[in-house]
Amino acid sequence: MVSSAVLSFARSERFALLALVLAIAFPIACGFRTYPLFIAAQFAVFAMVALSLDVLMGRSGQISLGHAGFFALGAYAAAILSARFDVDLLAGAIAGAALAALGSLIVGLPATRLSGHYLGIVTLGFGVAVAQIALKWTALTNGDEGVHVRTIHLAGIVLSSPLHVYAVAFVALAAVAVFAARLPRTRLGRAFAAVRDSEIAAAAMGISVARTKVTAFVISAAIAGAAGALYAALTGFVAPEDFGISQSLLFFAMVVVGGTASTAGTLLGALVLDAVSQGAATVGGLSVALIGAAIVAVALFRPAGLKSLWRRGEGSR
Amino acid sequence: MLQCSGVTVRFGGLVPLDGVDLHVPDRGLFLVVGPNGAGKTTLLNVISRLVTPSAGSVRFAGRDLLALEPSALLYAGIARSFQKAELFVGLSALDNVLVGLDHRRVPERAARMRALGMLEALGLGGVAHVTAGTLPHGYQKLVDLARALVSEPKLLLLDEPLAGVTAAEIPTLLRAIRDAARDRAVLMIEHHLELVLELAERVTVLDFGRTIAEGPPETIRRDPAVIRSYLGGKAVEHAW
Repeated sequence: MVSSAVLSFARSERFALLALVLAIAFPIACGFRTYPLFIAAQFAVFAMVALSLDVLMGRSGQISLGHAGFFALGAYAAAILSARFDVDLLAGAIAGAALAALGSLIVGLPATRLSGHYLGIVTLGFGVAVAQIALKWTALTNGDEGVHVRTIHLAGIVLSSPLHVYAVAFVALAAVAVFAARLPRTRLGRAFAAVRDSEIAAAAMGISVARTKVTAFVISAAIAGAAGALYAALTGFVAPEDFGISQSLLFFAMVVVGGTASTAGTLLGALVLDAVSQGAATVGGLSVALIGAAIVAVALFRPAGLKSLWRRGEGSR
Repeated sequence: MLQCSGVTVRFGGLVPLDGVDLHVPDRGLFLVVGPNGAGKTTLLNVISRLVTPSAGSVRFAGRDLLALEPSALLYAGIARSFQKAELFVGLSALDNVLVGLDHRRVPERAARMRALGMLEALGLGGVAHVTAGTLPHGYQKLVDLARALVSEPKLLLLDEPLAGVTAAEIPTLLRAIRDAARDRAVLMIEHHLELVLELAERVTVLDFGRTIAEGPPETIRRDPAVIRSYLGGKAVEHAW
């Protein structure tokens, strides 16, 4: 039993590495041209958000159907700080993470009383509200004209080419992946799982259920917010249409298709879904339809998601 | 050490507990018995703060327990097990037990050693790394006990620890309970009286939310009210 657990862990790491290597190698195989670099860096940013969502959904057992809202808060914070004050990307990412974390309290505090469908509705509404505010608060956000980022510099070094942003994005993704993979083996990760699996037993074990739920929201949103700042640096421009329901749906699908409570599964899910949505991007509406179809297919045929490729005996959880 | 006075719980028209008094000293095994619906689990839930009584007081080591949050009880020295185990099903058996130590911020390595030692003492060393939700029910109950016991509580509440445990595991479980009661108070609900009555120092018999008898096992065994109510006036030898 023990040896098979170790074996399956190693296999999951292999799948995670495979996903990362494929994504990193793609622009190299394309001869470092700008567009492949952009696509790969965008995958890294989206995968960070997917991992942050799995921390919330898979690890702490809460749902978010509006994660693009936290992503948007981070992107706008960094973009506006850059456009107006020429703020460094690192500071922008910290500000973005902080703003998203603050936003998560709006959702996370009611989350201590809500669960399941009701929490789904609240987070969905939050995501829609953030995109609407970005559209309507033109004095701050320029509405649908968006915000143009000024020169991107990180800790004083100017990131002049897509190659630089690509490198930064994958370093950031690796950091988030290591955090997400290690979380279950920490005291905090166990508290998340305890609240997810049995609130009454969690309380009996000295865990404050409400505080733990809010903590999960804050951490998840902060990561999504930092990813948003990277996204602003990558695209050089943020506008409301990048942060709609379909974007939240994409993040949700990455986690569900990959398999909740699995870092490797989420990475693989992110790769598959990102490839699908990029591949279908030229035909209007097709990508959203395929994302929806992927969620339905997984729910019907492989409830455990792609992680069931290497993890067995977990049924549909 | 634990003092319940006049504890009354009302759910609408139902009165699962009606003025129950209970005193549990520092050490030993204290048994609460009674037919289904007698209010045993409700009493345990009151003490562990899952149910707030409409009247009465619950004090532990001089403190008013009713003023505490459920998550404060472990810090006060009270741990419990559950009738249906209530394990963290997605975690390994070892991680479940580790949660029982997490409130003390024991360094990870030392905590792992202690949790593993606790599992081994209950014969669960071989399944330490198995996902708890996939374990057979009897094993889950043992993990639940290990999780409560590892925190070294002053008062251990056990809700039918023998229910669903296979015959092969019962001696280990009884030994663990007896050892636990040596240097702490154990308050236990259990139906398998033939197995646990001899271990108990005192027994409280509940019926319809009221205490109908209280005393050492040998008295309880012969109490006419107990025989009438709990045993339906027959099959005494069989049930005991």
